[in-house]
Amino acid sequence: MPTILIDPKDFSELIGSPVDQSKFLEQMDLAKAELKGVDEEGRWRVELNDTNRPDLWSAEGIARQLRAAHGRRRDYPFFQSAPAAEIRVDAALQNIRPYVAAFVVRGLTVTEASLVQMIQTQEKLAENFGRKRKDVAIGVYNLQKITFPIHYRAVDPKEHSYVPLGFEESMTLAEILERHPKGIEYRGTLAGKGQVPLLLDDAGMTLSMPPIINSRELGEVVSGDSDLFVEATGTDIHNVVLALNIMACDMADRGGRINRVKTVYPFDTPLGRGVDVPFWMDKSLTIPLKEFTRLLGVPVKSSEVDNVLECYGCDVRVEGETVVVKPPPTRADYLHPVDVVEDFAIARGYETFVPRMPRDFSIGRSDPLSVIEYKVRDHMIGLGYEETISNIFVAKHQLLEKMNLDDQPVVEVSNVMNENYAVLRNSVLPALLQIESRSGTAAYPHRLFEAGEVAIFDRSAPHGSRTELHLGALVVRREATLSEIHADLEFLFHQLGLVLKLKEVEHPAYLPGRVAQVLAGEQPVGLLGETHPEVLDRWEIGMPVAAFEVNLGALLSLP
Amino acid sequence: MKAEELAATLHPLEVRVLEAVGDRDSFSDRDIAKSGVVTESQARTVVEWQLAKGCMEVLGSTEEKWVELTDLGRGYLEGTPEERLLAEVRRKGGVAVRDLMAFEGIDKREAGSALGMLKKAGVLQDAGPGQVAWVDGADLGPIEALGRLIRRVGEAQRIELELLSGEDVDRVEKASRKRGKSKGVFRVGADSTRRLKFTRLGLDVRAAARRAGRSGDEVNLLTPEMLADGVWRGKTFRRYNLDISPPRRVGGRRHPYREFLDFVRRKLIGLGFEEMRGELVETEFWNMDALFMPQFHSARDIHDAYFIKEPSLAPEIEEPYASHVAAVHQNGGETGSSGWGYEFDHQRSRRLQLRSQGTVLSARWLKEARVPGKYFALARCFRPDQVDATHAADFFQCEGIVLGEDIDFVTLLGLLKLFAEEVAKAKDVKFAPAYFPFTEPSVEVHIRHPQVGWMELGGAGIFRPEVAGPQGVEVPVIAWGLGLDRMAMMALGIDDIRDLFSTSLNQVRATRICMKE
Repeated sequence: MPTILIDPKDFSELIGSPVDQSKFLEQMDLAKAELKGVDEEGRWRVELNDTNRPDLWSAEGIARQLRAAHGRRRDYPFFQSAPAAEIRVDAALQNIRPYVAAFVVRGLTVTEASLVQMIQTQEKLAENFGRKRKDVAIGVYNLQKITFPIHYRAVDPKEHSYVPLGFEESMTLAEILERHPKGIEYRGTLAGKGQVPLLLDDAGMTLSMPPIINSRELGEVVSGDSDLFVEATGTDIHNVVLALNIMACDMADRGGRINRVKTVYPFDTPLGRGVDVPFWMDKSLTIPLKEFTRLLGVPVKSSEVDNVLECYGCDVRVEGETVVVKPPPTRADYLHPVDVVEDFAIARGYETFVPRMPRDFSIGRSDPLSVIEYKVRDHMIGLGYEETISNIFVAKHQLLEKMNLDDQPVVEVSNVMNENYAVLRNSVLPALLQIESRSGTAAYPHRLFEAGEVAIFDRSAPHGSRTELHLGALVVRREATLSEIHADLEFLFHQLGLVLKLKEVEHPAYLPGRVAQVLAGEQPVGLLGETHPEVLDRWEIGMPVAAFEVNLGALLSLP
Repeated sequence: MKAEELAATLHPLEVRVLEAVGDRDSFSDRDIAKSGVVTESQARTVVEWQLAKGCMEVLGSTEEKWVELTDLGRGYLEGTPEERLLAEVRRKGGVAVRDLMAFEGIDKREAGSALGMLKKAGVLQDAGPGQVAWVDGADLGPIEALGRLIRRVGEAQRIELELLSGEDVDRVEKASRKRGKSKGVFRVGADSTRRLKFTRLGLDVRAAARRAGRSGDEVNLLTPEMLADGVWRGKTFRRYNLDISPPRRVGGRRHPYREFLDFVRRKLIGLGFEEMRGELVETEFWNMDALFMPQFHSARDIHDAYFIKEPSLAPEIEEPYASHVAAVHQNGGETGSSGWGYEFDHQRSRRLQLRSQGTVLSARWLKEARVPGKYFALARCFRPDQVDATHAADFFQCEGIVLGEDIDFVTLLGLLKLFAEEVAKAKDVKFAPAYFPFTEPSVEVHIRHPQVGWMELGGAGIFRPEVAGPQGVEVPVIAWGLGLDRMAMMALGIDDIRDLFSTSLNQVRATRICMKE
């Protein structure tokens, strides 16, 4: 979820009246915003919960939402104006980074505060909404130095060079991708394409190599600048256009005069071959009134929908028993009428709805596996065992080396964050031994158990593994023996109405001659024995251990 | 404590000792043992008890001297050199000094000194050159007395000097090994012995014990034998001192966190919810796609998951769900939605990952769920976060669904209010807008906790048509989730989430759950 910084003074100016922290807290629900704290400069740290509303990821955007609630919506007539400039696209870009759009802004007073906001918005849109510049990246330039039209070209990275922002010398595009910090960070978006995109003006000056880095000559904006050229490139034309609509409205809200720019494509796009941006994509939805009533559980009139949604920034047209709702140009998140119904509920205020209990009758039930889990836990506690609970994630060596076992397949994750949490346990005994290894100072005897989930590697299973519920138990004391733990398991089986049989086996984690396979109705369901001293050594346990582990699910399927 | 109460709880051994010591002004542990009513070690135990209760006090200590044999002395147990030389001379009448000096088993110097001593005592006399002879009628008393003393000390191993006669004490003195000298038959040492006396309280307790008829043969333990032959009748049983702390027990018990989870489970079953269980390893299809989280969109990036190394893909996603879900992503399918508008990647759907949200169980259950129906799961989930005090490597999520004709936004709020009141025991509840890719409307429920103020209890919403539709569900469905970890941490009094799965038995034993049902 994006988090942004808001300067309260700047925010008050955008709203048009003073807004302090408490006033913001009262209204932040309208933007699904949460105040997370205040930084040392007195700026609010605000988290935006709606990952599908990039229009709210700026001070201007939140202010726009709140202004609507106060009936102070602003019109954006530039969406209807004629384009003032043009971008021409190379056909070769269709398979590299096909879409580009731009607008021009004049008369903007770029102050330190507004520059910070502008960079923040550009960053959030490119990083979060644009998925690390892959889908959308935005560039801002000093308009004065640019000669129109702009050319969006596909070029060989070795055959063109310019001075990138942050550097003094001219570099080839290949060198920028190789050495420039932004080149290193974002070159993945262009990998394997051969040619790379380049924005040039009509005088042959480089604007940038999207989505990597602007040129120092045209692409440096400082406070005091007032006329800018803003472009976006990307892989999805709707996202590119939406990002620029948001940027344009944000700048208009700060007093900038917006002029549209036409992009001319030599290939078909979902929006045609000539696209004028900012571009109001019509996302209107026609919704029967009864949808509001059905979903919300309260009667809703058309006049109420009209009033409430107007105050949420939408245009509403009532047509008999349906309403046609047109979201503002900065939003493209209406996929289904339910999205509009939620906006209505948010704008009306969740506190205006009176909770009502569902009336339907239903029967509560445990899963059968949970039923046996509960029985077994009760009996183990009755036998004097202390229950433990552990992570299912473990380190691989805890399952294998530490248990004296040879390498064997276990359920491993590929994107490991921490070696201690890299594989799923296939047995609960290692977790119990880990607790024992760290509890030598706890008064003895130790009788420990856990009934918990494990994942067994199984190539034949649809997910490559089976989740099982295992009961593992340890007795740790001076005279811990197979006989003692055998007696406990015998008691448990008897309580479950099962007949316990042991069959001699060999297992590296247990002492030879002191380990048995646990059989229930001739079916192997687990192991029981005295833990091998080699295993105790590896866990640094200084006390004898007798243990068993049983698959509870296997018991469940017995007649 | 009053003398009567102390008297009533006296151990039978204590009663015996109190009587045996009698009215002596002072006494030692040994005196008690000598009385014969208890052994020496029992005596020491009784004295410790009595001192602890304040019934006896230590007056001071006295030295008690004793004697034991040296190595040399032990060599004389079969006869002193004097005795042996004398016996040889008496047997033969006259003996050459040379032969005596070479007497077997006695070294030359010892033999010399013994010969000198015998002559000095007038028991032997010179009889011609190099010869000695027996003096008829000589007094053998002192020689025999020393031999007897050595044997007596040897048998007893150690004897208190005060038990010996005055003459014997003199003999010990003379034949002792003195400091710095190597020779000597006896070694004398001393032990410090404490002198004890009854305190005022002790005398009162004794008097009270007498009044109460305590005899010292009260029964300590009732035995099966006593029951069998009925001898318990007419016996008195020793009373217990209830002020003594009992030994500490280690008992079987539920893990406190499990106890909390058990409570939540009981509550939910009580509210009519049926349990869902599933696999730890899931397909991306059910974990994300079926929940309408777009495959290539920022709305998915907030939600990372762990991927399985081997095998990395599930064979096939079951139809018709694969096609239905793909359709809603692409163009909304038959749900009235415009969809996300992208080319659905079926290969990506097959990727295997660790269950990252309990909602995957709800997604899987939808197609077979009863209507009306309520379902819940306590599911272990995995998210690739840096593990710290607020992020666990794996953790429990409590989630579920409610299906029914009367489900809508206000019944959703009603259900959340019920959870807040029943599960979290909260009185104040408020709702805030929220965003989840799979619900619309979405809501967060906050409760007021008496200590920490407003906190988030959980999130919920009504499944989007794009989620319910592909599973063939036509009624509205509430999807809800409760944030249990924070509640559990408060109930258990811990502030590091990793301690919910503590690996220290000491810590687990010290943790108790504090929660009202």
